[in-house]
Amino acid sequence: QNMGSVRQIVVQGNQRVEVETVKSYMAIAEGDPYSADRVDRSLKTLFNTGLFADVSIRQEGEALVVRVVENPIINRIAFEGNNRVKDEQLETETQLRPRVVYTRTKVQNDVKRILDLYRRNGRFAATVEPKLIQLEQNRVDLAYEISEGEPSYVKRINFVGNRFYRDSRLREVLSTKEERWYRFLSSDDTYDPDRLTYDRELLRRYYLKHGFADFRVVSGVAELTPDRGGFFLTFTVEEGERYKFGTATINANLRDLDGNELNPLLTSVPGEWYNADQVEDIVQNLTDALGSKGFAFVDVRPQVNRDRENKVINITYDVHEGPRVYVERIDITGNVRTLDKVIRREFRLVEGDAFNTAKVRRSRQRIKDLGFFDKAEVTNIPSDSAPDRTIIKVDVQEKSTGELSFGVGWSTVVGPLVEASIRERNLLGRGQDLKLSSSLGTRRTSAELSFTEPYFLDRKLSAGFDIFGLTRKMQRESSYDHNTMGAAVRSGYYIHDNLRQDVRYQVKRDQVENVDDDASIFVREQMGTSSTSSIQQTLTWDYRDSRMEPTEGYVFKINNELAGLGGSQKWMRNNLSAAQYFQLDEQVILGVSGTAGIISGFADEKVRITERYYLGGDSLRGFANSGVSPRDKSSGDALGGMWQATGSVQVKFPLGLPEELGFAGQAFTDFGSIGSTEDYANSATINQASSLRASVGVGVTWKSPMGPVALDLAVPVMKESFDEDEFFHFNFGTRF
Amino acid sequence: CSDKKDEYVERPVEELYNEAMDLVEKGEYYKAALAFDEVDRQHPYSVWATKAQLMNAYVLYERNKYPDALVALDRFIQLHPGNKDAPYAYYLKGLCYYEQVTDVARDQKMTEMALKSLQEVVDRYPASSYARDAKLKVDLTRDHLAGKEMNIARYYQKRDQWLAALNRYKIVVEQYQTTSHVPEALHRMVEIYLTLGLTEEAKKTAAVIGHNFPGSDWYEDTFSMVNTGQSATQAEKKDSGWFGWMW
Amino acid sequence: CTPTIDNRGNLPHPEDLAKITAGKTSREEVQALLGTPSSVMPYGDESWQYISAVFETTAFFKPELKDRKVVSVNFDMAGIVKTVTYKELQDGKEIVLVDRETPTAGKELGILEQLMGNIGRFSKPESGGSLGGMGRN
Repeated sequence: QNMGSVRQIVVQGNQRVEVETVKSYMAIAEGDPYSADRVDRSLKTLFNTGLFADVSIRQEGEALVVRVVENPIINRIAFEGNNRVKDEQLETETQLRPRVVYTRTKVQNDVKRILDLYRRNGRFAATVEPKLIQLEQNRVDLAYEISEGEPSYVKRINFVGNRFYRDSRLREVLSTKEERWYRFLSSDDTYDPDRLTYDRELLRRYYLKHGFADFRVVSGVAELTPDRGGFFLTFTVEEGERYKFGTATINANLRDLDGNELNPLLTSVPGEWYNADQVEDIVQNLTDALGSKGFAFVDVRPQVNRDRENKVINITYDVHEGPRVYVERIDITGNVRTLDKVIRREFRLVEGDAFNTAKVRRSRQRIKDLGFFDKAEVTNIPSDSAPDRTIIKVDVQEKSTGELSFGVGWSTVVGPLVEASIRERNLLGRGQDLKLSSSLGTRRTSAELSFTEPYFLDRKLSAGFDIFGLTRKMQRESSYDHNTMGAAVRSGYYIHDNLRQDVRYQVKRDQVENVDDDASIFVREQMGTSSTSSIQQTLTWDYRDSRMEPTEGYVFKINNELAGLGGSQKWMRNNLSAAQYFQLDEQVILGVSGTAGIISGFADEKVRITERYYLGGDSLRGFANSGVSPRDKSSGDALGGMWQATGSVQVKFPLGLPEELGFAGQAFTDFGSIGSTEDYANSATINQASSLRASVGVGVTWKSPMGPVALDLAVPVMKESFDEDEFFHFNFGTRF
Repeated sequence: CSDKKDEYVERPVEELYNEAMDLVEKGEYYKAALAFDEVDRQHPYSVWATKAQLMNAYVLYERNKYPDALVALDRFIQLHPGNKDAPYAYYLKGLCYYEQVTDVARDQKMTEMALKSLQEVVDRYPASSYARDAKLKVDLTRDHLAGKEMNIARYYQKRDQWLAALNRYKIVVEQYQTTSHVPEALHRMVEIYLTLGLTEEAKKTAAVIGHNFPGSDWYEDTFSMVNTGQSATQAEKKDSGWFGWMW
Repeated sequence: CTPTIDNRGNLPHPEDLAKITAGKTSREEVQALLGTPSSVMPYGDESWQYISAVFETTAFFKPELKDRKVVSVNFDMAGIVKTVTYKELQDGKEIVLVDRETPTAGKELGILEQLMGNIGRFSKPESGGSLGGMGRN
């Protein structure tokens, strides 16, 4: 029979959990009317707490008896059989901890987490067995018996349906690599399903960049090898036709805008291979141009229509009014160390502005380029205060921007050297860069402290200072030692994306000492110290596609320096340098470069030996360091020239070895000439000639795991009798 | 030394517990933590074990090990929601977040978490001795969040982005009325309205400061600015020399 | 070299503005025509502002204010447009901002702590975040 109200609740079987705790989780209390539904709900909530292995509630006369069996408490957790993955890693990955309540579901979840961890490390054959050891007082010890199994490497990657590009070329495009002995450091050769989907995207982007507008990845499948030791990856692709650019038109139906004003922005050239990235750039430029004309809500969509017979793609850029939405707020989260303004100032949009997707894309890229974050997500969500308002959310995940690096190296010019540097690229979260670097070599030691504030006076104007010291042993070249100490303040800014100007005021003290007794009189007279206070400017036009490994475009630099604002030195120096790169084939790069420089004293001050020009070593391969220079006939000391000009034509090509081994070959010819030394022009005791010197040579560069290695063998073909040549030129530097 | 397996020395629970408490008094927090663990391990069902669990969390908090302290506190709250020390556990959680609050120019996640957990103490246990201090800290964290909005507003105002600054100052005035930043926010709005030429709006806002914050030096600045176009502080000090334009 | 032009804020189109007549257009109609106002005057009877400005920036120079328009739509108690006022660049006043700031707490980041804190080691968010907070009062 169903009783009126619950007079009393009795809790039985609880050991660790107090009676009040059980009652607090129940949906029915003493004095409440009895209701089966509320009892049922209490049962559910008690189970959900995870504290109990079993719960039962029944009536006994006026009382409600709650019978519980508590889940045991975990005493210790142990991992057995794991050697690839360490215990600490497993502990951070699993949720269960000693003295936490044991439940079967929690253990199952942890087993899954351990397996996920192994899968991420490429071990798909791993198995995990949880074992329980009962202890007294309802406590248990938990042991995970792990058998790691063989790593599931990617044995082979093959492609089906690729006519135009060979398998080896496509393998370079993928991020997953085939198993190789030299890949012991990287995990790129282990199978990872997420990376497989990323690889499909890489393939698609690669083909779309080279004209295959219809390209489709039919399937990307991984099969386990029969011995379960690894995987075969097979990508079935449909290349489709290769298209060229056809016509490009703008169809804009905006109030008072005439479309063909923007035609110059259509940079796609009919007849060139279609390139999806270029189309995206055009969309960006069109949106920016329209934005600055006041059309803030514009949405540019490229309509790609294929002309299948003559395999040409005609693109019409549809420009139409997007939704009139304004930015209500920009919320930045995750910046635990970086100041809010360091991120906010990279934004092209300001709160209250018209919302524009192209500007958001540009801002996301600029935040990423700061290099302070592992992840920088910029998303926007509709605001609830008004329909035509949106809130931009920026969530960043910071990474360590402190770098402590240490390097060992050896080069023909400097000999063995040890380098150490400490650097913080995001000092105090203010986006400032502070670096202290030093290098200790037998013939050259240097130390430098440099600081840069990228947004001086809150403007796009970088400013900073350097303090430096350098000692060089030039005994072999000109039998003197040279040391210099100084400081400089500098500033720089972008006139436009590819043109930058840097200005620098520098004060330094130079000393020429330990001059050899039988050194040239021209060197002996230079003994002693001099002070230089100089101002210089550098204009740099940089249109290369990348600074590290340029394959296309050119860079051109003009530098002018005037010494004489105080200090004993009075001279004027002008330098020019230029380089142009051509991509002959996929990895064959032709680089043509040249430099020229001239220095001249004024107010009848002489230019010191340490400021004059010297050729050889890195600047003119095939010749020793300062090997090409006016030279004292008797002592053979290099005295340096008042002007110089060099040029180099170099072809870089792959050596047929797998690309990630990092080997590349190069063949080159260096040539140049140097002017006479200070105005001893007609003196009989100096050998000097401004004739052309040239050399030809070959070399190898290797991006070894220990650091970049460069070896050049060069033979001078045009030289003067008193020049010093050098066949073997080696440079090896490591950075840990 | 912690992973050497200490042998099971069965000792009466009060003795173990008091030894641990002495260690806490002496400030030997690391050893105290180990001692509290021992109490919990040897006598898991005693009343002392519950107290030891809470003290363990307190010791972690003292050692600034906030993430671990928070895990220990959550475990205590889940196991003993009805316990008489539960209010202290919630309060300690609030403190763990409160002491990780960063300056206004950085991410305020910790401030928000502190606000939430301290508010929970005030709501759940209004009568408890911790509620008063929690309420005080709630106001301080709200003031801190208002400080963040001001920081962003000033960033935009310095760059002549009047609209962006105006709306940020309005967030402070509307959502953080009880904080110390309201007088300044209102004054800044007057500055912006004057810059935009909206003298009517500037006068109305100035009246609001006059009404609510008559004594504040912000009102002095506002009043003189609306009437003479120069802020009070600016009128006193003569022009700050030719360097002025730099900064 | 061409400066970059930035249009800030919300500039209502003249044609839409022409459709607003005092004494007749309601609040909803203005919202439909001009969109949500840039800012609403919180005190006194309701007035909506539509604020916009045009800046030109060349290289690193301070963005130069070229034009500024403020359209204020003032409503009567019944929510019908009473007056519409326009403010141009020259109506504004150049004022010197008060440089005093209301203090806030929270520990600034020590230089050594930051430099040494995570040299070469990826700092997990929570450990990097404990900057001492507001101190123990």
